[in-house]
Amino acid sequence: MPEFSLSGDGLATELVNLAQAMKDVDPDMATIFEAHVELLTGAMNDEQRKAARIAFNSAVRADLISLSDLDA
Amino acid sequence: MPRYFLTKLSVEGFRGINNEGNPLVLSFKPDAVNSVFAANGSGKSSLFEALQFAFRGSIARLSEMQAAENSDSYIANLFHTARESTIEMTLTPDGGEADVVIVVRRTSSGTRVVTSPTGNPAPEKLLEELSQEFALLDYGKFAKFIADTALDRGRSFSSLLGLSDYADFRRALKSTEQAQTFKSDFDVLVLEAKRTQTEITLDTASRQFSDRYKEVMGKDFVDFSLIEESTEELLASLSDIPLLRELLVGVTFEEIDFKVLNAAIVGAENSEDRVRLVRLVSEKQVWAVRPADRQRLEENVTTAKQRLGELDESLVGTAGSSVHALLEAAETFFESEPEWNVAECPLCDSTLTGPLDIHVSKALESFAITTGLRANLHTEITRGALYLRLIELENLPSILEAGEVRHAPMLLARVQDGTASVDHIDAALVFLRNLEERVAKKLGEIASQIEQIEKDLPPSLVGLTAQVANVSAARDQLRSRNRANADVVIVAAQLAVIARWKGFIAAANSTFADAEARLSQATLEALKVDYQTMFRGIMSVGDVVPALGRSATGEQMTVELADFHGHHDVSARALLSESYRNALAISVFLSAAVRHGKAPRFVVLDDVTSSFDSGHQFRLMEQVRTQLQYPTNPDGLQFIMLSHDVALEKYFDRLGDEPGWHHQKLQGWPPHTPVSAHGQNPDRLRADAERFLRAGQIDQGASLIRQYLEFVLLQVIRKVQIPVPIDVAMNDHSKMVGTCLEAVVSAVLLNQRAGTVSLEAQQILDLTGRHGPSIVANWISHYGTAGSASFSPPSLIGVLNDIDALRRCFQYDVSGSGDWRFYKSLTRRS
Repeated sequence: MPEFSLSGDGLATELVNLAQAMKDVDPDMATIFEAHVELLTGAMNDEQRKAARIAFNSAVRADLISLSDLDA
Repeated sequence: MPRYFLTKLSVEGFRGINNEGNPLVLSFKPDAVNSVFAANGSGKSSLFEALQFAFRGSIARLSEMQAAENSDSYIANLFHTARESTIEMTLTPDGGEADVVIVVRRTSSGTRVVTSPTGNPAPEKLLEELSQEFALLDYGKFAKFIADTALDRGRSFSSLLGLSDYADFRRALKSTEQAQTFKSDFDVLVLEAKRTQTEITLDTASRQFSDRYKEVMGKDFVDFSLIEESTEELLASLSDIPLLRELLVGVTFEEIDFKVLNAAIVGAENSEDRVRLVRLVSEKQVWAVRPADRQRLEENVTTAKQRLGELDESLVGTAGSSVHALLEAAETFFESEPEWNVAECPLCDSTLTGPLDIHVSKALESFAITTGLRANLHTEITRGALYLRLIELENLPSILEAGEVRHAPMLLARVQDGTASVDHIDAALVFLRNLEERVAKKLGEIASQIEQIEKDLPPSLVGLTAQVANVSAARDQLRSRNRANADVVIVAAQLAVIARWKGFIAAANSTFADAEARLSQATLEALKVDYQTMFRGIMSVGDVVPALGRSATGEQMTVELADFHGHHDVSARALLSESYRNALAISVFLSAAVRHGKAPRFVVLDDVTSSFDSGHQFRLMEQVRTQLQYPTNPDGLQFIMLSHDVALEKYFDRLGDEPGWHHQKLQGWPPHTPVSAHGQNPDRLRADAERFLRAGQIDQGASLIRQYLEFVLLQVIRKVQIPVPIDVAMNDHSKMVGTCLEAVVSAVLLNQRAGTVSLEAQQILDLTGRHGPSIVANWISHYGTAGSASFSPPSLIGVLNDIDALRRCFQYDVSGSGDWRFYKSLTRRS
């Protein structure tokens, strides 16, 4: 698990830091995470969370398929 | 970012406040505790709801109603002719910037329109920023905080601390790795099925290439690492034939044009039978599947049935596959972390004795063995001879008769949804045997036709035709194998990268969740002294000490008592009375609110002291006034208290003239009269009453006269310190004004007899012989019984004048120039 803690300065800043910290785990995945993580912010109820999840996973999936094409 | 005080609120046409053309306007001071008293039914709750609607676009109480109750139709005041609601707020930045005015209008069609007459570029966003958990607090919120489950309490606490963004993100992030939705979002099942299918194609094509090679070369095919040599051999087998040699000069295996070769053979023979023979040989190659391995098939069927029996036996020990499916669905439901109270059943809303998510998790443990056995069965079927042979035969062209369905996908679906049985396996086996018979019959028919043609053709050309057809089929199979091989690589790469992502997002989730839990714990710890001190201040007890605890990994928050008269770490929910629980919640909420750095620098409290007696009410108010209110506390907030409590009203009234306190009272009799707000100066109340009376609106004017008289009497009582019996002070009933007037007159007469009165003789005469009796005769004796029918506008305007004159009986002109002041008391002039 990477070194990461929240400062309470606001979610936007924290997510940049989280993406940076996650580069230690997997730089490629962290880049994809950073590109789309904003889609997960602002969802305050089940319906919004579901929509955010679908949008996020869909965007991530497209990037993963591109990445796998390179790998293949 | 500036923070905002709420300095003015104007409401028209909203909920219980009609005030058509004459909005209810309240002004609030940033540097004072603002108290607003309202008798029941005079618009206090509507004010609170107006702020809810302005900030959040909804009203909590109406949102909780059933859809069929059409709660939206109750937002606009029912008596407002335009059915439009208008809420205007003036927000004063704490950094000295210009005021921001925001108007929230709800049209008759239900559209919410937000504007800023002062030109704020993003009024909706500002309202969103102001919509913080702590800004609008009522008794229900405090009660819920203690009664909530630990999970819901933890979530509302995050919101209270301004960490709701973090908590919301945490939940959204977690939802992205939830098992079922992850598979669906990333098409994992589709890719896995594709991989299986492609592997079968690869295997079949490899096998058929091998068979064709052996047919042509008369020896076994070695393996695909030598494929180039093997295809060269196949090409050479054709190049060695004189009839074809010229056609294959300089041609590679991939470039062979079999149509040209077959045409050459047909040309040499020049026979229609030759064409038929070529077609039949090709058809034979398609149908010439490798014979079934009966032993493998029987073993597979036996093992699959055995696996099925084990699974069924395991299910007997549990509550059955339907319950298993239900529990799995419930686990998925809770893993997605819906906003559902886990103490309630999602199916019938009944209250449970324990959290349902924990129950589901434990219940699923009994199915752990079942899950393993189900996986075994899945492997036995999808990798077994029965299923693979079915796929192979069902893919043969025209083998299925009209109306027949493929058994392989059907069998797979039943295994996947847990409905497979021995009967289904038997049915698939019978169908497979049927297909085997059809294959044998078809091959027999082809062989018979070939035999017949071969009798009529030279043997050498018959063999040549078969050889060309076999090489052609070998190349087709090789191409099919190459495509499948490429697909296998692509699908495997896709599945691998998705698996890599799954591991990554799980790590991101854990990393963020742990950090969020640590931040919440630290924030909670920092609040500890504040809320414990405030709780002690309100309840005046030292040996009841609350302590909130936040889970190190989850979002749950516990409420315990670190000390309860010598008992340690015991349940606050179980031990504390309602007032103590309320005080605890208030202490937590207000302590958190003061430390909050978000946009609202105000807290509106609506009837939060319902469970308190007068002593505790007083102590809470003193805590707010002396510890939390800005600027007494430089980091403090502006407090706006709404209350209908008569005892608290006395306290508000007493402090109303003090610096740091601003008191107003709502007056009015909705829906008969508009609601108006009055501070220590009742001029507007009197002016409204007179305006109604001069317009002939007696009902509206009459109700305001009562409030004006009540205000003046209480003002006199307070200013000249007239002792009032406790039952008058604490009650609010229809005879209160009459009783107060009697108390005032009695006190004056008592002091007059004692020779201590400070009023002038004429003032006493006016009070006891003129204005007092006039008010009683023209107003008090009729108001409670006869209603407005007994009144006329001129007589009521006379009552207003008598009330003014009655007040004057307790005042003196300081300099003879109209500077009227109240006597210090009944016995002291100044």
